[in-house]
Amino acid sequence: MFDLIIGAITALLAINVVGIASSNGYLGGVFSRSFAGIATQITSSTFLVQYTNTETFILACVEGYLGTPGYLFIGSLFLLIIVWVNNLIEYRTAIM
Amino acid sequence: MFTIAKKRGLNSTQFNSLAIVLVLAILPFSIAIISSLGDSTNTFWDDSMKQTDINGEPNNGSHWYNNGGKNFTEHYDMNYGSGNGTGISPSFIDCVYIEDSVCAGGTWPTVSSKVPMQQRYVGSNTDLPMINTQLYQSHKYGYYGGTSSNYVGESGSREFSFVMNSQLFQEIKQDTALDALSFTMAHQGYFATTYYNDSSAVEIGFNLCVEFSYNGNSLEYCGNYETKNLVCYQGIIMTPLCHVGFELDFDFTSFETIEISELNQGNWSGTEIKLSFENFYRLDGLDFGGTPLPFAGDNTFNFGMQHKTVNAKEVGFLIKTGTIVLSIGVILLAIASTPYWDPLKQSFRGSQ
Repeated sequence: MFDLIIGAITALLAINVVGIASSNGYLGGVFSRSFAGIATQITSSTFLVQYTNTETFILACVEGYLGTPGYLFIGSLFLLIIVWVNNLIEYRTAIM
Repeated sequence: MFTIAKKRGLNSTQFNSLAIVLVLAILPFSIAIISSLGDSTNTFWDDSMKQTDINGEPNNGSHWYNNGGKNFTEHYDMNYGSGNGTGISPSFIDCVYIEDSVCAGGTWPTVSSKVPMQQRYVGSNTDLPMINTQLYQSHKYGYYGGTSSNYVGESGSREFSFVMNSQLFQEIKQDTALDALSFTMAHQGYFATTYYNDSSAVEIGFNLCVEFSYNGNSLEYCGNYETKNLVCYQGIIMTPLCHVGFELDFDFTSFETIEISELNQGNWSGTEIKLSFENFYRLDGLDFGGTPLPFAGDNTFNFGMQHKTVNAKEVGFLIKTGTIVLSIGVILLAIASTPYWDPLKQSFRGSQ
């Protein structure tokens, strides 16, 4: 569950970063866009997992330690992912 | 600031950057703040054991659960098996292994009861600076044989685990939640005269699991430790006294504190704590073999336990409220990411 949430959010952020760069005239080639996207995703997920206690917190929410507020937080993350994915499909950018 | 933003407006790139900062910086920072709400601000440890007189209190249930595995066979057989002149029945060999609290197999002694740790004294014959108790090591079974030295065991690298009943932590107050536990183990010998020195000490690693049991339910938390098998304290004559041993701190996260509190409802007098040590290894890469451990052998070891507590209800309220606020923030970010409602963009854009 944690891998899914962090993977999805960081992937969407990476797509967004690449999108911003492209729209501003950077990362013209497919290779550079792919490289930048993958690097951003790996860096951001590594940061969240290894340098913050986001993983512990999300696991605590998933495993029910925090009760209803914990599930509400997981729900809000899924809502964010759904909105960003929908934006990506509809408008070709994750964050409007 | 609002005026400047209003004039400049907030373009798509800026809003995207803001969202990224929110997710990668503000969100983890907020989580860190929420998580720290449950940490004890007390820097001092409280003794978990109750001070008693020299006769101690009866040991009502603290017992060995596993005592190092079956790698003791050859050693035991050589020293105490058939034909060794000790007069001990060879079949006792089988019983030297404890599995799940009881002697595993063997014909003597024919017992199925738990193998007790035989608490002896509390707070006497000790160099340890905290209230502690003297417990039987993993292979001292006066209980069965009627003598005090039935078996000389060496360290094993498999699992050593023992279960402590609430007799050993009477000073953890009812209706409090644990924030941290500290365990100190030292092989001081029966009269606290068994010493060890730094040059003989070895850097070792192992996993320690702490399991709480209450009303048939249990929770387990594990951590990896790397430490010297040496513990030293200032003696009465101002000379550091060192023994085979270690001091292990186990810090629970705020969420674990809440979980433990929900398990036993703060009723510590009805809670059991099991400590499991396993996967021993030496940091110098040598075979673990007979590397000394404070609780392995045929003598006694001193065991001290300390704790830090927090108010469970207060911690629960703060963390859960913080989580709700964080959830609302994420929901607002999700809605603001749609083209239908852009509160941030609108505020920055003003009446454009």
